Amino acid sequence: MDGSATNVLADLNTAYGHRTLQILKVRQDLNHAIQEAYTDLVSTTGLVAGDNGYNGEYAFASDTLRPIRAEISYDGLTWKPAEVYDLNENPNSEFDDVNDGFDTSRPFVRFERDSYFIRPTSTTAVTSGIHIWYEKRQTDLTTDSPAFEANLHDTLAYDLAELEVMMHPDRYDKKWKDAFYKKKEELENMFNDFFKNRFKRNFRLKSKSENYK
Amino acid sequence: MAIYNKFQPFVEAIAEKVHNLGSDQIVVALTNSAPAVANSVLTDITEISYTNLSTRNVTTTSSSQTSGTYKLILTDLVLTASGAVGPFRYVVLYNDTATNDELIGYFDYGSSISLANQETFTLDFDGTNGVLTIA
Repeated sequence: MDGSATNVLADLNTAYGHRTLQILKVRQDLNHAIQEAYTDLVSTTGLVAGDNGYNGEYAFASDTLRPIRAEISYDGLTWKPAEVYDLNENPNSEFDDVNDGFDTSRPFVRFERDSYFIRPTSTTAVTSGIHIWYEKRQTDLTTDSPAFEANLHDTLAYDLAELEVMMHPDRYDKKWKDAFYKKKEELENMFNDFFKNRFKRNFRLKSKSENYK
Repeated sequence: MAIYNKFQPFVEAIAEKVHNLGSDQIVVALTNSAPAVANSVLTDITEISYTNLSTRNVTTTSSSQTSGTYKLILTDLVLTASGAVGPFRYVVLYNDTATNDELIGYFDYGSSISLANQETFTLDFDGTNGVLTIA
């Protein structure tokens, strides 16, 4: 590498980001860096395109990697989990009379690229009326430690070492490279296995009745 | 929700008193190979090893008829692994009391899974409509 501490730190944080995404990938639906946040449910009355809450659309928190779940309170007292739906699952219009087919007793949420849509929308503002859970992006390292398992922090050192090998391939002979990549692969497998199997899984098969006529 | 898949010989076996679903021991078999509808007995199924798995015996909740419709209700079964189990995809119901372990029906989980130590696989049978009805 070029010896610049600033550049090494930037590379380290890039590698850290890749490791964070790798954890999400191997853990599939399990939650690595779950974050909870509240935001206001706004009244759609008088809103125009571009306003937060217009058409029931709310911006994700800036550190959102993957939205997980949302609960809505239309009265500030009771909470209802919002069922996740897909745009094409709604047989009614998504921009005209958007509340058709929806009811506050059974709210829905649609996750999109940088925002989410609450259905039904509300004409009453509720402070902190939206509770959302999401996988958050890691915080860049400066002097502190990565947020994942401490026993696996050395994977980042290997990630940086690989960058160095790519930048200065002539400095390292084949024997050294072979040994390095073998060790890195071992560590890679250890990393993936740990996060894949950290929590036990409980599978369920729900059967449908069959009628012999 | 997993659809119940029929083994065709089951209806003949019912008619020829191979099964007494009210008192026989029903058991689940696990396999990673798709069963064929013509399969009739347990030896037709390529089972996985059950070395690290809890009991596969299913408790019969009720076996009775109402207004001429027979209904078989089974108690949910939780299979717990004490080590590696699988992979498997299909869950087969068979009659362990019947002479040749005759098959009843099977469910497709949709993809192959493996259980690690202490992981569970719950068979959530329909407690209202039953596993099967005969009208």
